[in-house]
Amino acid sequence: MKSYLKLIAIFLLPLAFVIWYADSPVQLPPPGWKLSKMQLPTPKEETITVSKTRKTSETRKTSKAIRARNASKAIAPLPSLPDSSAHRILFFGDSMVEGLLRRMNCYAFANGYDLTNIVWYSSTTEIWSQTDTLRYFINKVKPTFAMISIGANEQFVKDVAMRETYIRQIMKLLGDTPFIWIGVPAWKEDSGINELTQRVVGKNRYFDSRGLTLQRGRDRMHPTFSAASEWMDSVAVWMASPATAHPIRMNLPTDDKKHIYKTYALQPLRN
Amino acid sequence: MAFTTIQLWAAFIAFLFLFALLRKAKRELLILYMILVSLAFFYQSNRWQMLLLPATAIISWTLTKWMSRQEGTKRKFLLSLIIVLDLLPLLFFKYSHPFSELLSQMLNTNFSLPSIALPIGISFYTFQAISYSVDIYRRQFCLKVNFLEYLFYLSFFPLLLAGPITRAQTFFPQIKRKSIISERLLYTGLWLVILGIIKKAIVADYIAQYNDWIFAMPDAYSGFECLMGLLGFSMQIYLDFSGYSDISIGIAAMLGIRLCENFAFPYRSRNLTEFWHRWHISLSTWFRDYLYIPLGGNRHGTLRTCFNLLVTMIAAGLWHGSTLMFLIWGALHGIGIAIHKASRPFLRDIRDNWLTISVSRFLTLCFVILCWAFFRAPDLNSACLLLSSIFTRMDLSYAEPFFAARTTWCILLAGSILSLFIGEKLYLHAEAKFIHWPWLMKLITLMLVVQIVIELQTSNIQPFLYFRF
Repeated sequence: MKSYLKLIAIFLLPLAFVIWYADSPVQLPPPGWKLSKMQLPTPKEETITVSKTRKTSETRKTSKAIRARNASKAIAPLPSLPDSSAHRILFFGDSMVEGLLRRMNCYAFANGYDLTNIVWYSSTTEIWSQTDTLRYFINKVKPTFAMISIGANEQFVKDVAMRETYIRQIMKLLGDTPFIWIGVPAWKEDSGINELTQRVVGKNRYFDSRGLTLQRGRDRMHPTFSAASEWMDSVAVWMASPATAHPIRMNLPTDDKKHIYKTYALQPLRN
Repeated sequence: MAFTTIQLWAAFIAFLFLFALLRKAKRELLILYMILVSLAFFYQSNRWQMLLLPATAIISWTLTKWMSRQEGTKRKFLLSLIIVLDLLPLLFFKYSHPFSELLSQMLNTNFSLPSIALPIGISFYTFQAISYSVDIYRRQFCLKVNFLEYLFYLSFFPLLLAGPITRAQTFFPQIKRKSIISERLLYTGLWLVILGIIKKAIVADYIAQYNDWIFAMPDAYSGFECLMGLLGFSMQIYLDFSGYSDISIGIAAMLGIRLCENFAFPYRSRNLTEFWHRWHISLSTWFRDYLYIPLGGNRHGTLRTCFNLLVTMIAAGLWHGSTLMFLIWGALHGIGIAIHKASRPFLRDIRDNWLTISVSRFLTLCFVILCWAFFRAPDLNSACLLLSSIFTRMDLSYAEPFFAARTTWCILLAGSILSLFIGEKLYLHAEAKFIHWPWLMKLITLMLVVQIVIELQTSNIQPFLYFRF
């Protein structure tokens, strides 16, 4: 019996500690890092009542916090003049990039930028955030500026709220690299992806394309190449304006010649 | 239900306390207590499908008892009947849905049986029931067993979820005698439980996260990343399953029952035959004794031996699941073992030295890892994509960013690969050291391991891989 009691104590004491520590406000800090707490299971009924009563105040608190965070980013001091560095631009996203990149190549040539385009057909924020593709290209290109156009394949998804995590993950992957996000030129009302992206990345990094009237191609979704050029022109004007978080030089190309920059076309993922 | 949840941990402590109190009581009372706990555990996992277990026990035990008194054709017929009755629920739950799907495709109808969840543990207790009846039939096991003991054998909860498949010869003699549980046995159990937690909850669960991404869409990753995913899965399945086995054997030891080991450094095997002597030993010996040998084993020439091996390995593959992928996996291993058996006369001429041993270990490991691609991939196309990516899109420039992005993952994988080189002597030495450690040191070790689990815990705890088989 004595041996068993000793054995039981070996199991019991860590369990008691884990439960006590998980439930207590005490935070044990060994040097350099905090001891994580175990998430204790809560009885189902309790969860329901608590969530009902807390939901409104917590949601308000969270959204306030998000707004405050976004506001602090938005209020960050704006450079007075467009940044005139010879940027290494990484332009990536879904099939919409294919239309935009032709004109963007001209802008890159006219402004002395090194441009790398990645068109990942049928991609979504989820795919870009959950795979290593973006990390790989960031490491390869080492961009000083990024342009993103993702969301066309998520216009009608039901779990829009879930996409916030993915957008944040993409932002996290970009780190300190300044970027702009080109919104989806919606052809009909979406289920909230544009609103969400704008809220998460901030208005000064988000180009809202919904107001544009663009001629559509045969699929009635993608703009024609000439419409996409006009779209890119609008984006370029905004990119150089002080309305953005990090304006860069985007002088209008003097010609409409074809300029070739590195472009990667990635095939859609299978389900 | 997983072995690593806090509720189960608390329940286990309460169970152990009552067990310690009842240990000195009547043997039947202790067995009854264990059966009730096991059935409650089984109910927790399977709800009312739990009734299948006592039903199987009643039918199998009664018919086996009857069979043991018969001779000749009647004895043979009864054994066949027992095997069929034991296998029926397993075949129904495991294969009825895929079979009906296949049939409806062939006949071009929209008829299909509903997919029913496989009761957890059914494969394992079914195999134990069959082995008991066959051993009685062959007169390899002669001990008299009453129904309570038999139900205890089938329902013993540490074995219920994923084995090891324990033979009657190992189990019953231990519960028949009044065993003295030494402190050494208790702490051997504790050592195994801690080792199992490290393998399963720390390493396997952590590396699983990345492997799941790779196997979900291999075409989105480079050859290097796919290779890492495949290596990761090879270590994951070993650590997951051997970790589970360690926990099972450890808990059984704490209850005074010594079980045979289920893994013996399988990735250090020099050929496929040896690999199957070291990997999931309880399953491979089961298939050897109850399928391969009855088929004729190696007694009818090389060609027939190869055929028997192939059939056995395909059956072992299909035991894991009714998909084409498991069939391919089993067939590949069958072909591999058959080639090894057939080429044995030539291999005997090669002298053993460090070079030949290293080369043979490396080649065996490569083959086993390659086969895991078929075991884990959801379909043939994904497996081919993964392998073609490894062989055609290998770009080592991914290595540096990969390590930078997944440092912990790489360290855990490298650590687990290096652990394969730990000698058996060193392992036994560490075990002996742990057993002789002061009580406080053991407590601190467990606390440390638990905290590391919490630190690395993913939001979705990975279930034991062998649950679904």
